[in-house]
Amino acid sequence: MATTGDGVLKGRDAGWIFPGHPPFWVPVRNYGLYDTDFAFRLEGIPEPTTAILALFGLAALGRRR
Amino acid sequence: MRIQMGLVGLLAVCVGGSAHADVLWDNGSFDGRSGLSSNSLWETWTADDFIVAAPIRIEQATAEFYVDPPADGPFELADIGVWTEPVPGEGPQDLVVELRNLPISSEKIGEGFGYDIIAATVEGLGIELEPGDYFFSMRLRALFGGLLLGHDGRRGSQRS
Repeated sequence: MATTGDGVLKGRDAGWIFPGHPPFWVPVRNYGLYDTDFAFRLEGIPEPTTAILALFGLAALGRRR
Repeated sequence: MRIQMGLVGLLAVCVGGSAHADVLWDNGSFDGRSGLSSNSLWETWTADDFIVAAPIRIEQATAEFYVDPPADGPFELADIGVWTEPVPGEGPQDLVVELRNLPISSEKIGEGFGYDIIAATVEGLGIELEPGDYFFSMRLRALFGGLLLGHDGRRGSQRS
């Protein structure tokens, strides 16, 4: 899966801040000079690869029996 | 025998694939060029977008953000929110994942603009998402003068 971003919330990736009651989100850029720095990284498993391999393995096991 | 060995190898690949965590999304490094607290701990979520091209299961999330200085560490709990973005550019819409009081590991990694910069990691999430545009946020729970702030902005209950 492609990764992107430079950790700066701007443009399309402006980021949104939720200061009050949903669904009232405000783009961070509306704070004028201020921006907010929020870096995050998500790690885990791309499901299709693991799932397909697992199913294939189970199917092969079933045929052997 | 050959087939059995092949099967064993295949299963090993499956298990190995399950145990190995890939980087699914990285929105970049903390650049320290901006000064708005990204986790004010007062009724706010700060979120940024990410795109899921194929189904994923998120096991771990790491975030770095400014935290208001009145917050007392150590930070041991965090909330995570994931919202859909049905219309690109329109911002977060529906809250599809909300996890509260998750145990985290955290450390102060710097200071800037009068804020502390905190890095926090949550493991064992198991968040499964279908392809689409989403927003992600992580928010620390912390003490303000002995009060543990709740995710809903109320001052919450005394930490026991």
